[in-house]
Amino acid sequence: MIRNIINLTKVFLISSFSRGGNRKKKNNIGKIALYAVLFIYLAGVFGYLSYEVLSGLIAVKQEEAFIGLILMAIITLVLFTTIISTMNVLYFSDDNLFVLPLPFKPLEVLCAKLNTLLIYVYMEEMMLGIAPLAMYGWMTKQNILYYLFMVIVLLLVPVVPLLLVTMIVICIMALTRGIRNKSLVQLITMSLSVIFSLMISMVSSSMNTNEDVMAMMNKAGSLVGIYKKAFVTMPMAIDALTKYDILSLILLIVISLAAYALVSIFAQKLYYRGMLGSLYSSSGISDKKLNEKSYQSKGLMFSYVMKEIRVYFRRPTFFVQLILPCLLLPAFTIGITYFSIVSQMGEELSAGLDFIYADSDFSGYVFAVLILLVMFISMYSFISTIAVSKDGHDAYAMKYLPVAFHRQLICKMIPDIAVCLLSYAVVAVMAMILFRVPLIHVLLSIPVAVLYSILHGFLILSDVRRPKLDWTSEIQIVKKNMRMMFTMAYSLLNMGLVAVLAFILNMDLYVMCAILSVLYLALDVLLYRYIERKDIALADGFE
Amino acid sequence: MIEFKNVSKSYRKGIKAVDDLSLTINDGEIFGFLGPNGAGKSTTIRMLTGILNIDEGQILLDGKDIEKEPIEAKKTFGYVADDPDQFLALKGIEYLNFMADVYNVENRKEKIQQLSEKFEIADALSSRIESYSHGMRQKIVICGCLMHDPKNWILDEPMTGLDPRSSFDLKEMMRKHADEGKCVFFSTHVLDVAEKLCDRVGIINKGKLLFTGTLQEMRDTFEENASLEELFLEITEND
Repeated sequence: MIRNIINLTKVFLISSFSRGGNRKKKNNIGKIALYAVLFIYLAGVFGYLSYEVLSGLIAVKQEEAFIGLILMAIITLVLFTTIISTMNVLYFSDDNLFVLPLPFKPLEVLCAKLNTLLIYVYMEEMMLGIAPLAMYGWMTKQNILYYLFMVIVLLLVPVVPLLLVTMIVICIMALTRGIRNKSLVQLITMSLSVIFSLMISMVSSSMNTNEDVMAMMNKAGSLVGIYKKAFVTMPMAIDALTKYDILSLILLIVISLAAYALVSIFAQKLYYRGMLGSLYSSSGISDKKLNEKSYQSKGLMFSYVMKEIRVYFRRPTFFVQLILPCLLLPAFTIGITYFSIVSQMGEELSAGLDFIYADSDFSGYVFAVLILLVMFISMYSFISTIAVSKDGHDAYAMKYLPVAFHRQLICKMIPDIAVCLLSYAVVAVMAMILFRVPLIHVLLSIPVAVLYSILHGFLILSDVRRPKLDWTSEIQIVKKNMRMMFTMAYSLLNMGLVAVLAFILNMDLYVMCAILSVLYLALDVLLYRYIERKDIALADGFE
Repeated sequence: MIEFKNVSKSYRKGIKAVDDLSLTINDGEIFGFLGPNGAGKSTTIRMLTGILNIDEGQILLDGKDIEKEPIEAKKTFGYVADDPDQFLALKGIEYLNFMADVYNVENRKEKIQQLSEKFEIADALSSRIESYSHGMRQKIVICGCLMHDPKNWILDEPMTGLDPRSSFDLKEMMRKHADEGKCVFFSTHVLDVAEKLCDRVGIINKGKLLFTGTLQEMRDTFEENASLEELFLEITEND
């Protein structure tokens, strides 16, 4: 049985990380290097933050409270990410269809799934847990025993919270005989994770001073007390790390293992009941009757654009990774900036803004800030850079349908342009309401925003030459697309141009508007002529 | 009418996936394109439909060159690919409306209703294609392909996944289409179907067209009164 569990765990992990496609050794080394760099970067960030917090706590001899805070953060992360990943790993994984006909016991499958979830948690915990706890050990001059205890605690602390969430999900799924709408579940869980990430950014950016940090720490301290009561293993983990309490460590080990065993044994039948109920997704099934409107023609271009938009909105990964950030980012960015400035300047903000808007020397700066915001937001719109790749093998239809290739490209660019413009509309409205930006600046920014957004849409040219059509999971396209670097570099280049015009050459808003409008109009026309002339030759990259 | 004139295609230097293919499929006939796996059938069909560029030669559909007049040539055919997993995010009705817009189909409502009822998928049109079974996906693709009543039908393994009723209906439609003076070009691995349905067959192996003609001509050539399956195996094994 143990061997089956280990083998199944390996298979689930390998299939979730590889997800099809050719894996070249070269790419793997590159990926490992990239992850190593990312880990070092994040470890550095968390290590630095921990140093700042610990310095304050050590000064008031409250350093042991830091352990409680870190463990609370780990448990919160485990709770949140387990909610998101449990559904996908336990119920909506493609592995289930392959595993069920094989002679594995439900207990073995459930244990392997739990191990898979645990390993996901460990990977996230590595970034959040190791650096702060190691920093504590270094700053409080702990001995080798501390680091040994640290490793054991990091392995065991996530177990009980993970099992708690998993048990709740298993019971719900068993009682409701499974939730069949996989797309809806993925959409909700992924949207929550994006919103959660943005909220974390908002909170951390509001901590500008040491006083803000200590105020936050005091609030967090009271939460630690609640967590200690809710999760029985947390006090044991804290005692093990702060007092080298061997008994607490043993209890932590025993309780974690016992919880794992109990949940696995009691939940196995419930798990299968829910799993079998959700095997075939009901996403997309509808018994609506068709009517006259169902057969109406809306024109080729409209029809094509709607086809594109439907894919972005009906695929949770595309919606959450491509559409949602662009729609939420403006509101969060402007909101964070406004509250951050207000918290520092208070009533002086209003007077400051009046001064800026009254002086015509600053008109160019205000206009430039609006345009920079357009470009900043468009930096996070990757729709055009995957517009062809996202179709997978459907992209070949572009070559045999009797529609000019360049017209198909334009249709594929439109969702990107629309999202950029919609995001800018939100920015403009919020800027007018919160920062009282004069109407003339907003009106003059509109043609530049429109023309720039169209230019941004032409980033599709980076995809059409060599689209990645062989993918089995949408996340491969969204997350592993190096062309996103083009989008960022391209936006930064344009931001640099605007910065030079406004802050170095000190142009006023009318001159800037004229220059940028003419420039982007010329580029748009040139690129349109280019794709019109090249047409189907642009598709030589995918055969 | 479909014409291949000295068509060649290479994926790698020195290795031709299709080697100097010359072939004419006349109006009024069902032409079966047969060959083992990796013979060059899909490459040929992809060049015919414009998915792949031709290295050498020319392909004409009703006299229109697929490379020089691509839009006009593409309007003359309806293509069913061997992979029916297409446009999964769209509802059946959305896919059919999209195809109707692409091909500028008049009377779309009648066409959609007629085809969807014929293939018994009318009740599923308001659901997304991703919720369809394999066979239903094949049917919706066939409906989309036939909606604009193209003169040339290009079908790549069209029977795969179809239930017996739908398979029978499709074969009847193919026969009727050819009898009306139009052209059907299809590839299949099911030689029984090819034997009963095709007016002529072409056998390709390792990029080369080994035989073109009727089944009787094949029997006369090899002086054997064997089935298509037996003759096919003999032709391809001897190559």
